[in-house]
Amino acid sequence: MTKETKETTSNDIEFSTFYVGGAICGIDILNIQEINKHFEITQVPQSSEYVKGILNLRGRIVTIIDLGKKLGLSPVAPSKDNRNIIVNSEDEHIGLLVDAISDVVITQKEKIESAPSNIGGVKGKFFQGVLKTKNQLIGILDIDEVLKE
Amino acid sequence: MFEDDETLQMYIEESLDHLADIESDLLTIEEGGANIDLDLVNNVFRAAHSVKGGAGFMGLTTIKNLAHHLENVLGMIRNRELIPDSEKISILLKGFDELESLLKNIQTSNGVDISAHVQALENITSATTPEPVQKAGQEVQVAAPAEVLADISLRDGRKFQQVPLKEIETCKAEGKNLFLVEYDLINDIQQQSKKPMDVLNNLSKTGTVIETRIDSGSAGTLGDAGMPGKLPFQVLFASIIEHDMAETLFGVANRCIHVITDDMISSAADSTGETPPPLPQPVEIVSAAPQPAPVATPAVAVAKQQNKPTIQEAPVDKPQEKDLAIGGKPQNSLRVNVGLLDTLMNLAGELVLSRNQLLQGVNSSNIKATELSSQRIDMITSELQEAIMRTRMQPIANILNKFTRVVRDLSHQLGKSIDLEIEGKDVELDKTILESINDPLTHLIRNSVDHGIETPMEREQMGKDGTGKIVLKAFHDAGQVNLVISDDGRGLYPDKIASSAIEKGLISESRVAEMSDKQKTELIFLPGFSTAKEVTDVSGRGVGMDVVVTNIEALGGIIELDSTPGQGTDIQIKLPLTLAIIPSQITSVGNERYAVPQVNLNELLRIPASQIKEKIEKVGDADVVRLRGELLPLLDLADMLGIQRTYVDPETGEKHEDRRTRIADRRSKVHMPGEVSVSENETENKTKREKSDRRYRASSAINIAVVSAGAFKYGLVVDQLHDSEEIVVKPVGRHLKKCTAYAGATIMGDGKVALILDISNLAQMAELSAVAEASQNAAKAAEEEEAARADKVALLTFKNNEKEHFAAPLSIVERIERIKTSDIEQIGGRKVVQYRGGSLPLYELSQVVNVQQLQDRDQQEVIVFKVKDRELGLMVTPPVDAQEVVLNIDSSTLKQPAISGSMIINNHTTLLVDVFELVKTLNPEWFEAEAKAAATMAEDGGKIILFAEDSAFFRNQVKQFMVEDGFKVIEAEDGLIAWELLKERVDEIDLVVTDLEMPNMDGFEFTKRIKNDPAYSHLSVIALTSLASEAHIEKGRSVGIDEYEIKLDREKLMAVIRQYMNL
Repeated sequence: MTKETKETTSNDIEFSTFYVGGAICGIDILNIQEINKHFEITQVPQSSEYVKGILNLRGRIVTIIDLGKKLGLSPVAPSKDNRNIIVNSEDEHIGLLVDAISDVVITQKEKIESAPSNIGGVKGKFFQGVLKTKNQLIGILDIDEVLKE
Repeated sequence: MFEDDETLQMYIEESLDHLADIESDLLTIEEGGANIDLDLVNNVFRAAHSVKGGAGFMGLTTIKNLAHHLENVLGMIRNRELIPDSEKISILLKGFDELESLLKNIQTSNGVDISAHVQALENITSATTPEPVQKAGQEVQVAAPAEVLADISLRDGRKFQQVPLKEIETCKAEGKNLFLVEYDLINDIQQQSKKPMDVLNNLSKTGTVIETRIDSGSAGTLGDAGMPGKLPFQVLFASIIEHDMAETLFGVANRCIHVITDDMISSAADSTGETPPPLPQPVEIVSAAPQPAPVATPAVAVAKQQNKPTIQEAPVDKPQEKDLAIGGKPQNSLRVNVGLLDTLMNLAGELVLSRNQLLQGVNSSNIKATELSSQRIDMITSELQEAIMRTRMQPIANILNKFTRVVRDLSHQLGKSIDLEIEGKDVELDKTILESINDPLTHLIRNSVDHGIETPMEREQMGKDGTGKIVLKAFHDAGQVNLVISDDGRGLYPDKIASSAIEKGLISESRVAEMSDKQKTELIFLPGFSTAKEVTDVSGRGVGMDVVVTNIEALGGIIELDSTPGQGTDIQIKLPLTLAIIPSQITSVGNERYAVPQVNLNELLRIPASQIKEKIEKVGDADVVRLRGELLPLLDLADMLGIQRTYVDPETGEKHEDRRTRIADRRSKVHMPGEVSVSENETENKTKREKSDRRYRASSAINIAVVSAGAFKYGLVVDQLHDSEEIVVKPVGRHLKKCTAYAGATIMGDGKVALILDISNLAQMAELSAVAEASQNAAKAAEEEEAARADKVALLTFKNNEKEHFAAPLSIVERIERIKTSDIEQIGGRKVVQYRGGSLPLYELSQVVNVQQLQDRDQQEVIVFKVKDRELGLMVTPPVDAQEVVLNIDSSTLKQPAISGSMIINNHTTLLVDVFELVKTLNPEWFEAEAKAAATMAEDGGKIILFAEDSAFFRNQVKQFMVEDGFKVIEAEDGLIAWELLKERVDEIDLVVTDLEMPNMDGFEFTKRIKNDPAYSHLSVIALTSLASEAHIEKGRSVGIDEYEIKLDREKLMAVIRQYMNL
């Protein structure tokens, strides 16, 4: 491990990154409750198209949202890499279904640039900003905005 | 200020407890008037007194002052010096209200201005006190009670000052002895683990506590009196007990008991601004300051010594938490019966035992032991659940009782006289439901008082008792709690409500025309509706009945309204016992399970594939199932929710997707113009399938959950019906809030989630709900307007030949059968078939009507009619379909024997068969008796029937029936014309037959006029209707309709006419 990880200062932010609809996005790790692969999902007819269904998470009913559809990208294709990212939003647990999980990225607040009006076909309002790494551009999601009905 | 929370809290709770029953007691006292029930008065008196006693001890000046004044008035009532009229009781009630609110806001109580109450109370006392001390109009000073005070000088020279002389005199008059008892808070009370309140309570059992004071100032100075380190707690006490007994009673040394004799009492100066006395300083003066008062110290000391933690028991349903702004933070606590707590404890113990057994069984792989213990755990869990639920159950009296007061105050305000009767106070409801039902109930009660009950004058004019009556009843029924609020007031006028709703643009006129009175009455539940002519501050504050409905429905409850104009209104509310766990029927559609709350479930219905055709019909666009003579609309859950349906393969148990996308495909009755008959199609398919796939039959049975939401009932079609389970309701996330079809979700035994269906919202989504339907936009209404004006009639349509369409009234059809052509026998030139042990004569239309003969087929559809108690079959060509159509009959163009006319149904010219005439032509001998009777009657001059009917077709038809049977008929085109005719020719008319739906004056109004006028009321009224609904019939009976008959059921109609003519 490098020196960098040990000295995470208050200025550092950790992002959990993941793939959805061909794009790579990140969420502040502090927003994330857990990441799991429960797919015993009960469909909810008549719900919004992006709602995948509901899930029993240790006695709690959690709404699972297909993040791909929600962001206007292609829907999450079933695969063994699929994961639910359970986030905490407005006192409620909500699951975001993503194509696959990637690394945790540690960076500094200054390195986050403001989001352009459109990232890979996704509206800019869904992003808090973008993070440029050596070889990719990570869109940092604004969870509350994404989960607005 | 009061640092000892525990003691203070206890005082508050105890005092609130004391006050809890006061209201009803006072109201009873008021009722009794001069007839004073001493026990009751004493009750209230004691309550006021205990509050006062404690307040003095705690340094709560304002509370003490108020309680004291209340006590004074009550004392006078007790001594019969005052007659408790309603004015005085009002003042007392307000005083106690204030006292309660002071107690709830204890921290700020001392700063509250209670002068108005004190003044009002004083006015009562001074008005009756012989020596007027102070007159009203003078400046009032809060801390200056205008009463006669006395000082008591003890033998040792100390003084006990400013005691109310009045009370002392009262006690003396009752022959009581006066004692001044000096307890020592430290030695006598605290070290014996007692509480000052206990001491006071004990004392009040044997006498009257007049004053209590803590002599904090004397703690030091009393040293010379030989009582060092003491904190005197002085109680001025009156009792019939003699001095020698006193020592045992008080439990203190004799020297601490001072017998007060008359000479020790000296009247203090009337003036209130007296200089403070030198010795024991009355507590209230010290603590009047908003800062922590020194007096708090002893209280703390006392409580600290009380090492036993008492269970905090706060009255549950007092919404005190919100009133307490600062400081005193009473926990949201619940009073639980100790017996119940013991039960819980036992159950917990058993649970632990069973767990141990289960673990042992699992460890030793002993299957039998495991099974046994799991059974035990199952049982204990249920019991535990039930017991825990019981702890949440609270008697409904907690909220019902306060309505006595609400009704009393409101009726005074409105100048009405109303008795409120409350029944079923013991009924228990879940705490949360109880809390949420309060507001809707208050609203309904207010409505009853404000709009329901009339003023005494109005009531007397109507011949009612001047005093109105509201009954509030709670009872258990079928696992639900029922609340009924009924009043004998003016009731609701459906037409007024309807016109008001139209005015407000909530509904179109044409829709209202179709509604029954009950439906019209229920329009008051529409948002934006309020019949109050003016907004009063009682009801009609913009919160309408729709809010009440919403609230009650949010609780899973149902509200129903029943009103008789001029007689009163009944409102019935049905509530579930609890919200958290609900018994439900588990069903499934597609791959998912759905829970139907048992509350909504009436019954389960399974229609085998073989019976689908007979049982399920189509009315308009909707599927209906005939269930015990009732037509039940069907709602396919899969269609509603857009789910792919499945069926279970009976051989492999696997689920397959059902390729039929619409429920209608499983049935045969849909007939679309220009399409090949679906029925034949299916017959074909079926035979094909029967050869290749026998599973089809089993899987195509239809499973229906018959559910009801409010007054509305429908059948929910699901793929499968599973078990009934108790489910725990869990809320769903915010993204699903707009899916109104679900009431929540639950977790099933296998860990998967199932959705709970919201039965009433589903009905609304399908636009089934009566009221929802009513609130639909006017556009649809306009479209249907024409339809509504004409008569609708249920017809059975069928064909004779491929291109010859016929119809007959459904009401006279007995059954529809399919027989094999080979079974038809030809005997004596007639066709018959053996059927149910007899022979059924078969006819075809071509025998009478000028149409083609039937084509030969393997099977033959037969419509069975019953005429003259004899059954006969008419052979027809399918499809045979039931339809509700608007009769728009051309009775001339295609008229011929046995055909009453023609009309267009589904783009085909359809001939309407007159079955009666058909039979008459075929079997004239059946009718010989009637013909003879008719002839005789015609010779005798005949009986005359007044017949009102707006549809020319029906008028002619029915008239013909009557004329053929020898009656004379006077026709009228609507109720109004009939009424005029009746007035002119009443002497000739023997009987009235009327249609119900007519312009200008409908049959109901017409009947009502006849029955309410002594000149005509002897006439019997037979109503003719095309579709008789329960509500219709009920309404008809109430206005005096003697009999209901279906139009075009000639035989029955004529039989009834004869019966009423005594022929």
